[in-house]
Amino acid sequence: MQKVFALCVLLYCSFPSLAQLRSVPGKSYTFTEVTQLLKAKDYYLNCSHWLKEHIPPEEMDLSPQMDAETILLVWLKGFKITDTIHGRFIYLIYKGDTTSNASLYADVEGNVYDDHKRPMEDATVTVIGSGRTAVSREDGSFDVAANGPVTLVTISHIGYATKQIDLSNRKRQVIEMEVAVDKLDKVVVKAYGNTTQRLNTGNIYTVTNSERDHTPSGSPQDMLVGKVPGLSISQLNGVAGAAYRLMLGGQHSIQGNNRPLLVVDGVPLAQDGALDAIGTGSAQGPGGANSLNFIDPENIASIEILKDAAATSIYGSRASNGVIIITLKKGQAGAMRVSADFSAGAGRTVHMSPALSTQQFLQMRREALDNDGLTPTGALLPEASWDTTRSIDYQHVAIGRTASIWNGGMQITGGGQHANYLISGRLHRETSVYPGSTSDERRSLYGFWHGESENRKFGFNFSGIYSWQSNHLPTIDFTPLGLLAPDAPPSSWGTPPVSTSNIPAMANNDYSGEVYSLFGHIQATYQFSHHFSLEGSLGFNGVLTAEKAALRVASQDPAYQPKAGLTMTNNQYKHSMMEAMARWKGRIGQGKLSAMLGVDLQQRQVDYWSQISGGYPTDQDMNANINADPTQFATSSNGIPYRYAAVYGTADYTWRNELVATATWRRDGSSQLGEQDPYGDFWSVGGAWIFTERFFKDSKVLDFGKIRGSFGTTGNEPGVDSQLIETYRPTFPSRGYEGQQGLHPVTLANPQLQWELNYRDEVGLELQLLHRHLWFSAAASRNWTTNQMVFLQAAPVAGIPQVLRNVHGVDVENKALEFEIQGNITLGKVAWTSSFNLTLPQNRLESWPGLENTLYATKYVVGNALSVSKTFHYTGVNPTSGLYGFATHNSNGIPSPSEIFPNAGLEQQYYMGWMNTLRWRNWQLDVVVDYRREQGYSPLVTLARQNAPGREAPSELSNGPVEWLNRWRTAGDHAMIEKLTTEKHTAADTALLTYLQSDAWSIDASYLRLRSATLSFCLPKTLTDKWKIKGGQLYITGRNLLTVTKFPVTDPETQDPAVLPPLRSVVAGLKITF
Amino acid sequence: MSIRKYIAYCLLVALAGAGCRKLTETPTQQQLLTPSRVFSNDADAAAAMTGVYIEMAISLRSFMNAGISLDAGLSADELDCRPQTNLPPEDSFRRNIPTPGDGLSTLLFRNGYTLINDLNSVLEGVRASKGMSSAMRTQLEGEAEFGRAFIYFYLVNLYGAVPLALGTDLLQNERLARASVDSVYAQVTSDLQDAQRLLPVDYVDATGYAGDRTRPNQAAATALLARVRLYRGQWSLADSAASALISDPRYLLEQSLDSVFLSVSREAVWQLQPVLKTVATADASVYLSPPGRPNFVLTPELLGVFEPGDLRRQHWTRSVVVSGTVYAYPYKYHQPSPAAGAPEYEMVLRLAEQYLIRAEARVQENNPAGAVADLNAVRKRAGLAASTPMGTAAMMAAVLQERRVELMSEWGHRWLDLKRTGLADSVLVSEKPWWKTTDQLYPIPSAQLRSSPGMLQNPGYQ
Repeated sequence: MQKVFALCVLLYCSFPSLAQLRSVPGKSYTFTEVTQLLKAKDYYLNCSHWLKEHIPPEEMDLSPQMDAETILLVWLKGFKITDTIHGRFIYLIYKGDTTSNASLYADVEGNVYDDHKRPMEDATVTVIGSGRTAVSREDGSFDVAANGPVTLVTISHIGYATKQIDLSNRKRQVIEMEVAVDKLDKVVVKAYGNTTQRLNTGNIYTVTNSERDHTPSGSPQDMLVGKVPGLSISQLNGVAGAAYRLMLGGQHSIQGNNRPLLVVDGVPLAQDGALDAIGTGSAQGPGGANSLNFIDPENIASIEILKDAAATSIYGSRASNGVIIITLKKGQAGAMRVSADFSAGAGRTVHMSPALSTQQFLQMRREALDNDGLTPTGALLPEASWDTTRSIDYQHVAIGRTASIWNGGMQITGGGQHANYLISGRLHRETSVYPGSTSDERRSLYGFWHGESENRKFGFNFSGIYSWQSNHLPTIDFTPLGLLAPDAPPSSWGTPPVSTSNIPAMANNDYSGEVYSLFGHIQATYQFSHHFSLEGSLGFNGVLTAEKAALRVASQDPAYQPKAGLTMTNNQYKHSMMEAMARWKGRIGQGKLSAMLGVDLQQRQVDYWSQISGGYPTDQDMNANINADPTQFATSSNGIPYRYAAVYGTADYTWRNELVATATWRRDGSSQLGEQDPYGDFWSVGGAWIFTERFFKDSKVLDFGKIRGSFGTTGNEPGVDSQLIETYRPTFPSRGYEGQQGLHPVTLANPQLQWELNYRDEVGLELQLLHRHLWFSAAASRNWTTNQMVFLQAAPVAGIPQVLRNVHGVDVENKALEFEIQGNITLGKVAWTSSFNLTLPQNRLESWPGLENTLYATKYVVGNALSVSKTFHYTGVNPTSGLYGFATHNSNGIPSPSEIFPNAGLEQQYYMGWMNTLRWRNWQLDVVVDYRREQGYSPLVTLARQNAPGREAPSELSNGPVEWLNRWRTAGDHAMIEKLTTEKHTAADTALLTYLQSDAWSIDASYLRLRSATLSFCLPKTLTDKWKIKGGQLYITGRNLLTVTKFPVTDPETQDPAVLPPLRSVVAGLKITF
Repeated sequence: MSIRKYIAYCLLVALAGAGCRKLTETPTQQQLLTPSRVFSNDADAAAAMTGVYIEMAISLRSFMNAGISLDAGLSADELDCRPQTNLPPEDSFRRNIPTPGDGLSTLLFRNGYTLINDLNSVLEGVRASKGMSSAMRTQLEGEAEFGRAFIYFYLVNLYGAVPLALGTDLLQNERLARASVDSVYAQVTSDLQDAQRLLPVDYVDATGYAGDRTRPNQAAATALLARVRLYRGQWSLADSAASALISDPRYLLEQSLDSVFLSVSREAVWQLQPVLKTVATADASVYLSPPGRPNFVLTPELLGVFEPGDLRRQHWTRSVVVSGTVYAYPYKYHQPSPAAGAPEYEMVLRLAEQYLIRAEARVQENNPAGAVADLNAVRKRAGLAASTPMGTAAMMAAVLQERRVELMSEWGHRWLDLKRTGLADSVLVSEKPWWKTTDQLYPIPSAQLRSSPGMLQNPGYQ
């Protein structure tokens, strides 16, 4: 009976809240006091003298009303002592070990629960002081040796905030963990698993999609710009939905692929390399459409950027250019939550230099003729007949419209204990700055479902995306037409000598592209035991495109009896993958080992179909009469199927949260490589030492410090698919042979083609300082790529011009230093978080034996960056002669062919990003600024290639930017443009031709850009309560708001004056959660 | 538990190890134009051969498209570059200094081997094919062997001993050594004998119907074989091969000189059809443009050997006056742009050459009457009186004179004739002061020498 009561007391005590534990202080009882309590009940204590001396006074809830057994139970609960009662005598016996470090105290026992109150397995409990550790079991229970009545421990688990807490050994402890908010313990997604910033050995940078991130362009890449050290992102142009160039750590490969591997929820996306064709028939230009358009940025939970060997080697042959992992959002258990958002805004082209006015243009023409000693009349100056009252800057016509942006979406999530889901849909619509009716529409549906069995041993995840993009854009980028003669008639074809493009008419040409993407990933896991689990996953990714580009009669000058034409392209991309993995984890010695072994099979197929037809008398015939037209050419060229198989394994060993060692290995086989040896082994080793676990323990400044390092290899596949299989392509001479078209072999298999091999090493330092207010990290990396694949001239007898070959001794080295500082400070109600990153890259062609005998002899210079070639060196406009000057010993100022020097290329010196978040009450301001110091391609040289200033335009694009006014006129002028000339073979003309062959094209393209700024306001609780909603947010966000640069003519990001610069856009929106 | 674990591990390793090679092998996709797919049916296989003819005819001044006529014509004493400031790059052949670097000589060599590779690819495809009809297999194998023989015939004559690539294995081909002249000729002869056996008697096109004479037939193989026999001094074999052509009623000498190079010419044994929309024959584009100011003109030496009253001087040459100097240029092809009705085709083999082959063979066989008859058949068409040379030497000279005029600016006949008869040194040294006997062979491209260690350059180019 008494025992039952005692049990009740025990049970009652087992589940007090932590708050209760602290709030009820008990009285402290000494050994003598307990003896007296028992004596009052007529019981007598017997024990060894040692025990009598060592049993310390303890706080406990005793009362004289309790019987002797209860008193004993409560009293001895905290000690390793058993009692035996013989009649009225109680004997106490110590049951612990009797070594010198013996402790009288009983172990601390407890249970760990996660934020959903589910038992948490694998949490590490570490006793501060003794350093003893324990790991929670499947039911969340643990026991650990105590230090005293109260033991200070830390409890940690990946993804959860580490807890430091006093635990009593008198009652069973209940600990509830909270999802990490501290940077160190947040989950970091790595290849095939998760880790934390604390224990990560590799260089992985995480960009988390916060509730307050808004990307007006709808492009996931915009989430990354300026934020990630080592990642350089450029928008290829400002056309809606156009592609980005992503480069992680410089150009590694001369001829191969330099794009990072993109992995979405475990499924690698390869269409970036395989499907360049989408959108290339439109204003989106040669880069085509963004291959990530099918992902709604709102559905992204985080993007991880993996750079060093420890992080990337596990992706083997595809990881040479780094890896970007996109993790999609998962469901949240609980009652259904609905959130809806809507935003609208507008975009305009960022600043471009104005074009010359009619007066300015004519003045320059006259000056040029004057310089040549010619009379500016008649045939020498056909522009004399211009209507000087008309002066149009055609940039306003070609790219001067305001684009509108509409964006709406909805997300539903919910679930129970064993299953949860998330469903979301979005519509994004953008128009362009071009004339005519243009639009880019993206619709996407995303679904996630997670389920698990009752005992949680079997788990299942599904994520899927269906997206449908419709693009209606002009067939060409109208930007070059911004340089139409200022006198050109605005909406007619004009009459010679000003026969010009008629922009409104040309806007009749339309491109329509429908792109359907399907993405799916299912993953099943089975937990055999605490130690061992199996995992299988299937992924599929398909893209179907249907593109049409029409050349309409109405878009052409009727003076030339135009005909209509149509280009149709249908492409299919299919990629599937299958993976199986076995994982094992457990304790070995004082550390934790987790190991994984997996296989990966992938298959890809790209099919192309296109048809070009022309000669239709009217636009209507185009639709009605496709097959009847005799001038059509159809081609159905199928890409090479691609197959890939790999085995891989990793092992991570963590010793006491202090030392971490990782090793990865992968063996890859790919059909892209020569049949003689299509396999390659890739491996890495990495380690991290959290030195603050040992030193600086009591430091007030340093909270956390880690040194990490890694070394390993990755590979790179050829960027071109077709170098391995001999294939035939249709020939298309206009007459055919005997009325037939033929087939012609295009490639010759190189059975020896192998991976490019990339070695990388990196060391890093991570520090957390000043009570988590400051974070600092630095990394130095070096990677060099050998066994480069380059096109070499084949021996003539082989019968083909060139072969893709691995060349021994051609090494490309990329070094980088990366720094990041993050800080947060709260002053009253204002919280400020700031993050700054800086990257200093260096690219170098280490060696190339025999470079002079290859196709690349003039393109590269050993010892310099890959963008550096040897050219004449331009020294500026000579103030005395007014001519372009060059480094030369020749008296005429024109260098000899041998006077060539390595130029500055397109090198990046450094780039940095600065992110700031200011919070005040319900308001938040987010600002991202980035700065790049780099060389770029001068638009003035690009324009001079088409038509030099002062000359009569050979074509209609005769105008120039106002920068042209900065030309040399009289001795002593420091000008950008030389003395104007119209004649051939004048000194100025020779200087101009030399200028075009010189390094004048490489100019400073540095810029500072206010990349984005977002002001958001969270609806206060009073309002949300009143409106019966869970939350609401109003925001206004702007992109590319301000640019500071010396770069002439156009935007430094796009550099080419014939390409639409990025848009400056402002979007306002509302988001409500129900 | 642990047993399960090991089973799982073993399963994974087995999966990974055993299946690996299979897993990366790509299936031959239905629509992928791999060789096995192309040669699985008659239509695609025929298109592959058509592709070779298109390749032959698609670039001007290439191996099969007036390149040899021009380069070898300049190397000999037929053609000159008209003096002007910017001489065409072909002038290096006129001055007999083709370079082993990336010049025209290398281009010609590469071009030849590109065609060899294409033809070898067809041969490999056809021989491995399972789905083609036996008729089409036979025909394409014959066409490809014929084409290969034709190109090797010129390679061995222009460059001497050349590597003999008979397959498409890149690594093997790149390392081939130079085969001896005799073994190249042996290959050419056996290819032609195969072609004689395999090719159809009638002209057929890719679809199997009688068409133009733009695909070789059995007679084309015989015609080229006749030439090979002549070059090898096998007189009676040359005689009989040429006789087969001459006695074939399908071939006769077009009596109008203006009809010889038309697509409907009955003299044609094999012609190439031009494939570019805006260009007529490559020869016309070389010799007739720019209009009125030809870059390439006939040498005074050649013009000097035309006999008075030779209709070929009138019909097959034209003259212009540039800066007071009269220049004559080849005018065998009259159409500067594609003509409707009866267009000109690029003549490769024609009957007149067979008469001259047989004439020469008969001189050597000591059949003067037969030789004179053949010679006069060609002379008669040119409006010349019958010639009656006496003695072997005079008869040989008469045959060579007739070849020089009749076959001028065609396929480097003059260059090859001078070399094979041993006259090159004695004739050219008086016309070209820079002449060295080593100029008879063009240099092997240095790119080839780099890739095949041990391969020797032709003398005079080291």
